[in-house]
Amino acid sequence: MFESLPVLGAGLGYQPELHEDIVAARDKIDFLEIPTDTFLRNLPDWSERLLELRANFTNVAHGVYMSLGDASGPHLDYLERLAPYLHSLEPIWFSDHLDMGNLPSDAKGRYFHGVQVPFTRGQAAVFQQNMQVMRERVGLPLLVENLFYELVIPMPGSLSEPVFIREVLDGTDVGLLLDVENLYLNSLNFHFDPYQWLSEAPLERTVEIHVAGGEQRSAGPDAGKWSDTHSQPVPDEVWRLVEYVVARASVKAILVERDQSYPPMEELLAELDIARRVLGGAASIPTTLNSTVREPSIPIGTERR
Amino acid sequence: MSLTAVQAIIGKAIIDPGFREQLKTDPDAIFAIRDVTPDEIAAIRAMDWDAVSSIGTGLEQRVSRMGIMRADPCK
Repeated sequence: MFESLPVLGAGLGYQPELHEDIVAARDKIDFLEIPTDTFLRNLPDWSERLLELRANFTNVAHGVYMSLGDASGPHLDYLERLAPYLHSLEPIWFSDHLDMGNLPSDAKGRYFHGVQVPFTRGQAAVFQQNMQVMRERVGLPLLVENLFYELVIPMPGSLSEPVFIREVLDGTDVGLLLDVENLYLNSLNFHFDPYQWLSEAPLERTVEIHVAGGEQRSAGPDAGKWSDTHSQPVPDEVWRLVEYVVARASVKAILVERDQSYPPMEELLAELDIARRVLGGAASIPTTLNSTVREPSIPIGTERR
Repeated sequence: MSLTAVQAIIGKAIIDPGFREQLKTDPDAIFAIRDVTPDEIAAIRAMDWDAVSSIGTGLEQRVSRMGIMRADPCK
C-alpha cells in the first residue's frame, strides 16, 4: 500500500526558533516535518517562510487538531482550512494523532489536543469513518500516530492498545506513524513491556517513526512519572526499540522531535546521523548520555523486511 | 452505547474543574441526563481521577503560559 512512497531518511521537526539553523543545515537534514497548526495559525504572515521551506526541503505535514477520534463526526471546519494549506505545501504525506476532539467549544477546549480515547471497536470504527473523510478530501497519504497518555479509560470490551491500532488501520489505506518515545514513556508509566506491545502492533503499516527524549517529574503528585517533553536527547532504549521496528517493517522515515531546551545544532544533526544509520540497518547504536540501563526482554532482530 | 456521550463527559472533565468535581461528588446528576449505559457509567467511575486532574492542571498551566485566551490556536 505504501510501497510507492519514497524513503525519506532522517528528518527534523521544524521549530521557528531554529529557522536559520535549520535552513543553513538543509544539506544534512533529509526531510523536514512541518507543523501544520503552527502555520495555519501564522499564515498569511508566514507565506514567505513556508515557500522557503518548501523550496529547500522534502517535507511532510504533521498536525494536532484533526480530532480523528471524535465520535460526533469529522471536523469539517478544520478540514476546510487544512486541505488548501496542504495543497500549497505539497507534503509527501500528512499525519495527526489517534486522539479525540470531543471537547467543549470554548477557547480552552479548542486549544487542547491529545485526549485519550477508549480502546474499543466502536472507537476504532469512528477513526475509520473520520480518516476516510480526511483522506478523500485531502488526497494525500495519511498517517496516524499513537499517543503519549496519562490515563487509560477502562471501558468494557477494551482491546489492548496495539490491537486497537490494528483495528483502526485494518481495511484502510492509512499508515502508522509510530511514536516510539510515546510507547517507551507509556511503558515506563504503566509498567508494560514495550517489546510485547510491538509484537502485537501492526508494524507492517509503519511508514514514519518519531523519536524524542522525555523527562521524569521530580515533584508534585505525579513525581516519578515520565512526561513527553521533547526536551532531551533520544535515550538508548528508544533507539533499540526503533532498531527492533526497522528490522520488521519497511520504515520510510525517522524523525527527531525536539521542541524545547534546544542543544547546539550539531547535537541534533548527530541524532539524525544515528537515525540514518538505524534506518539503514546498522546493527549497533552509539550510546548517548541520557540513558538508563534497561535490557529488552525480546532480542533485537537484525533481519530487515 | 453512546461513545459521543462518553467522550463528551471525559473531555469536559478534563477541561472544566467544576464539572470534574461534580463527577466525583454527584455523578448521578450528570449520568441521568446523558445517553450512557450502566457499563459506561461504571467505567467512568473507575477512571483515574487524579490523572484526569493532572491533565486538566497541565492544560491550565499551558493556557496560562501561552496566553490562549488572546489567541485561538485553531484560527
